[in-house]
Amino acid sequence: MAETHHNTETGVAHEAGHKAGFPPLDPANFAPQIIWLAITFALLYGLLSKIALPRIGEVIEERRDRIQRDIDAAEALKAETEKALRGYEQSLADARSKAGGIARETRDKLATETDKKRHASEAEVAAKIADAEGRIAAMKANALQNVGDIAAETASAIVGKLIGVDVSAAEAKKHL
Amino acid sequence: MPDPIHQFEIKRLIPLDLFGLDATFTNSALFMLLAAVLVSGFLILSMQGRSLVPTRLQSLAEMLYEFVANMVRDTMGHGHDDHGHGHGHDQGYMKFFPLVFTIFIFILTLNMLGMIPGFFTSTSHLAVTAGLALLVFVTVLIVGFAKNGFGFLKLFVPSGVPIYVLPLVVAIEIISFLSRPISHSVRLFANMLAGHITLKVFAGFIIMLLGAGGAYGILSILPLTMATALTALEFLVAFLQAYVFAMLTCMYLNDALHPGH
Amino acid sequence: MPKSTDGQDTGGGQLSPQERAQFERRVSELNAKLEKRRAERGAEAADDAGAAMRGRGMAYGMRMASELVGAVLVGAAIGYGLDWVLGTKPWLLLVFFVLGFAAGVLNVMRGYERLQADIKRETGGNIGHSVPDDDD
Repeated sequence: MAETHHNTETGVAHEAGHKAGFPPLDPANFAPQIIWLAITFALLYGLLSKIALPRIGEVIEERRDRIQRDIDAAEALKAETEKALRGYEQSLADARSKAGGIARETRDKLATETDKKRHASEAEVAAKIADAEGRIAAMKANALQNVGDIAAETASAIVGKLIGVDVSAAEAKKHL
Repeated sequence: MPDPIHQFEIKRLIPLDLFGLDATFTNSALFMLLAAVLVSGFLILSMQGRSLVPTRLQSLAEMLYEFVANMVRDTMGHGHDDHGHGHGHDQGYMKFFPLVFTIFIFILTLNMLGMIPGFFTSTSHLAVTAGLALLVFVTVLIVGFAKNGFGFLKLFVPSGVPIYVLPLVVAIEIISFLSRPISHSVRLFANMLAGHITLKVFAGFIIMLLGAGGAYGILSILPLTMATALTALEFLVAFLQAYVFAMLTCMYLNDALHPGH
Repeated sequence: MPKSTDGQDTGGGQLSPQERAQFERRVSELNAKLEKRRAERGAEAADDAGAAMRGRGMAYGMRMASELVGAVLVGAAIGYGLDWVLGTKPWLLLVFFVLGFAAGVLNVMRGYERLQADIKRETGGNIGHSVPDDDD
């Protein structure tokens, strides 16, 4: 194995047509490698800088923007939601205070109305009472008068019966 | 035992001539071309859908993109002048992102291709790593002078240094600056070279012990374990070297944009 | 809801208690979800930062040796070249070898300072998970 290898090595060295030195440092290898380095590097640089890299950069940039946009949108929506919630609470509180106001108003109105009605009915009742009292007084007076009349009649009747003197009721009344 | 150097042999596949220069299409060139085609093919095809919810391949492509983009931002985004809060304001440095990305992905792919048994590792050749390092060096010089004019030379003149040691300091600074492409290229080259030689040597031990048969075959467990651990380490090194190369590119470019520490 | 409102005058009983509780639970669930997303995004950034820090540490280790050697090599090469041009062998080689070493040490020190500065910048203000930048 070592022998065959030795053969190929000398063969290559012979083909190359120069002293088989240390190939990486052999000046005869410099020119062709540098020329092809220039060609291939220029080719690669051209392709990468003109086509590949701008493309990759674009995609990365776009994705970064997109993610940032999405996050921003989510934040905005969150802020909006919070605003909406605050607004809802605000309007709810408003509604509550308004409802309270309406209730109070209604109660006041009802109270005044009731008062008015009560006053009216009280007045009516008072009038009725006064009327009734007047009538009672009249009836009382009348009754008293009647009582006097009856008493006079009774007295004249009693006197006539007792003493036989006919005393008119009027006269009896006079003496009563 | 296989020769650990053999794997670095350059094979001349198609002899070519470019204005008198030897432009032979070698196995090294083949793997560089393969890397370029694989990378661009992968990055372009995986993004075909351009979907917001990525497929597996698309997320891999995006991960690579983000990784290098973060590296560029981290290294160049601050200007290292300690009053630069302008993280998002000065986007000028981002125009170097394609260059850094290409360097990173190209080296990474070449390193990783080299991890496949039988494949050639272009980055284990000094010519390739030096070529890349010189590309960065020249870019830094051009950007530095284009952006700052001769003010770029302030890079070599630190502030608050007494005049009598200034020449010495400037000499040291210049050596330091010139050492950049050297260490830049030698590091990548030496790491890949050493890693592959080590792996090959251990693989050679395994084959040798197995070939000896009998009790020696059982002994081959030892280098096998080592080779497995080393392979894992090599994958890490293959990645880290690409990362270091790209990150230093960012640092040097940053110096070019903001000289005068 | 109307039936229960008359019941309780004093409390905040606008919705029926059950409905209100349910609603608030949903709101807090949404809040939690949003918070989680936000935290995840923050954690992602922090994770990235953490990974970058670890990578930087390893990269730093691999870097320093070659920075030193590279500078020494460059110094020696410059000295050698100048010697060759000026015919001052071997003095400039020696001088520039030393300068190269100094440059190497400078490289290493600078790398260390930068690493420290990076660490301080990333963990200084707040230990643990860093807060993502406003533009992230």
